[in-house]
Amino acid sequence: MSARVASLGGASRAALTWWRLPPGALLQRLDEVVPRSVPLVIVTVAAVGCALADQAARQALRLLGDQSFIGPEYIVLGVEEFGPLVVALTLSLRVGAGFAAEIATLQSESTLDAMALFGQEPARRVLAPMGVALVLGAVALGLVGFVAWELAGMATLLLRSEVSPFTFFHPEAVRGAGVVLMILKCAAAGAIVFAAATHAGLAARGGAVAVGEAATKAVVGAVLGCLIMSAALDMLWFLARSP
Amino acid sequence: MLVALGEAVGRRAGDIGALLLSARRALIAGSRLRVDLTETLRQTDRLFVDALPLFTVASVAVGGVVAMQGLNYVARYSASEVFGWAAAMSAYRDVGPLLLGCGLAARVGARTTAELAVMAARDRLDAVRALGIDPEPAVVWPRLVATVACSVLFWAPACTLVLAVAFVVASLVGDQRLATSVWSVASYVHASTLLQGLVRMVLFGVVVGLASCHAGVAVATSEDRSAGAIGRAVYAGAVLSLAGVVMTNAVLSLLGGTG
Repeated sequence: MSARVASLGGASRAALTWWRLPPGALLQRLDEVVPRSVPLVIVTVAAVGCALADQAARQALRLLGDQSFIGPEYIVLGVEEFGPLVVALTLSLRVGAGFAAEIATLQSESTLDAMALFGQEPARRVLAPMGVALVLGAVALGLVGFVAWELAGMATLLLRSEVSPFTFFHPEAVRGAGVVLMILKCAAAGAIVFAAATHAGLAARGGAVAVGEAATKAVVGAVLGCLIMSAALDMLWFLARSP
Repeated sequence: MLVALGEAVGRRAGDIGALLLSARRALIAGSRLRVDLTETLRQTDRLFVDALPLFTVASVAVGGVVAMQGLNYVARYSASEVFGWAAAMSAYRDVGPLLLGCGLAARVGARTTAELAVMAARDRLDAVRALGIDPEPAVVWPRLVATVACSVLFWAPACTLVLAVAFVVASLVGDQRLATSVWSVASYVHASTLLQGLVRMVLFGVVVGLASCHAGVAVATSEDRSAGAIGRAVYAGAVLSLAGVVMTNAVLSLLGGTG
């Protein structure tokens, strides 16, 4: 346990000095996190946005007979709440499982120990680039997810309720502080997914069974961590804005 | 890039085709009562107990998310009268089942995939077949049915916990009175809303069960049966489950009523 925490700590310290990381390894991890996650992020965020926009529009029409306020509320919800949350869950399931399986394979085959023995610094060469790529990638995917969210809402309202996209789109409703919250949530989600994957992967001992267990534990830890982080930041955000 | 896109689309189409075939075989096996009942109950008990801590903590966190989402509107529109109704819709039908479906994919789905992938990689499924037992009704379908059973068993307690936490958080963090929230649920929430939520959760269970079983068993047809292949199977099952859950959620929302 203490060795795992030490390795995680070493990787986190190395990640904080990201400019000293091998550029090739960092770029490779960024490629794994961002471009390869984009299709899944777009599909998941758009599907959730489509469902929420349609339900919100129908409820508003049924109860108030007016859909004009849906646009400004929907865009804020995408920036501050559901955009970052769905991206976090997607990263947990897609990248968290993959990274944990890779670390667990390296650990169970004693490759990390061999690297350390030959002075190759596995924390700096293998683990830290994953952490930096996850934090930066999560923020980038958050922005991509936001675009997908808004486009999905526009398309849904246009096709289902014949609301013009120009009427629906209200960028002025998004405040700078809301964007900061989104970036903060995405970066925190990236860090949580990294911590869960590294912690579970480094615990793996004994081959195929251990790798499967590590991937499962990483996914569970990351999903749980992201949900708790989102709820906690929402509460702090609400209290900070309260008069 | 076009080649990569084509390959990705081809792989996903292959996955969907294999999933539909699996679903068909599972339906036929279920209709002929070819699923091992004892094994199904054993798997349901194991998966339920295993996932209970995750679902409890996840429900508390989702309750916090639902509360904060509603409180923002209560504060902006002075709409404390409808907070309970909106939170119940969110907890039982919309956000609750969706996030719990992701939890199901993470815990139950990933575990099922890992177990089946290890069995496939170590030729245990072939060993079962060599004994004259069909591994699908004996090993695979019980896990699929158990995943669906877990989703049904978790829905009411987990969503009620989500709602209770949302009410408590709203009364502690905001100025939302508990009595007003409970009155709002009793006055405005229809039974059809609850039914829609349950149907949604059952379908999420089917999707996660099919995706996780498919990803696990697929290792048997692969040449690579290393530890890395197990990890990739878990990853593939998780991705397929998540995409399936959100797509099913979107389709049900578009087809469903307003509750």
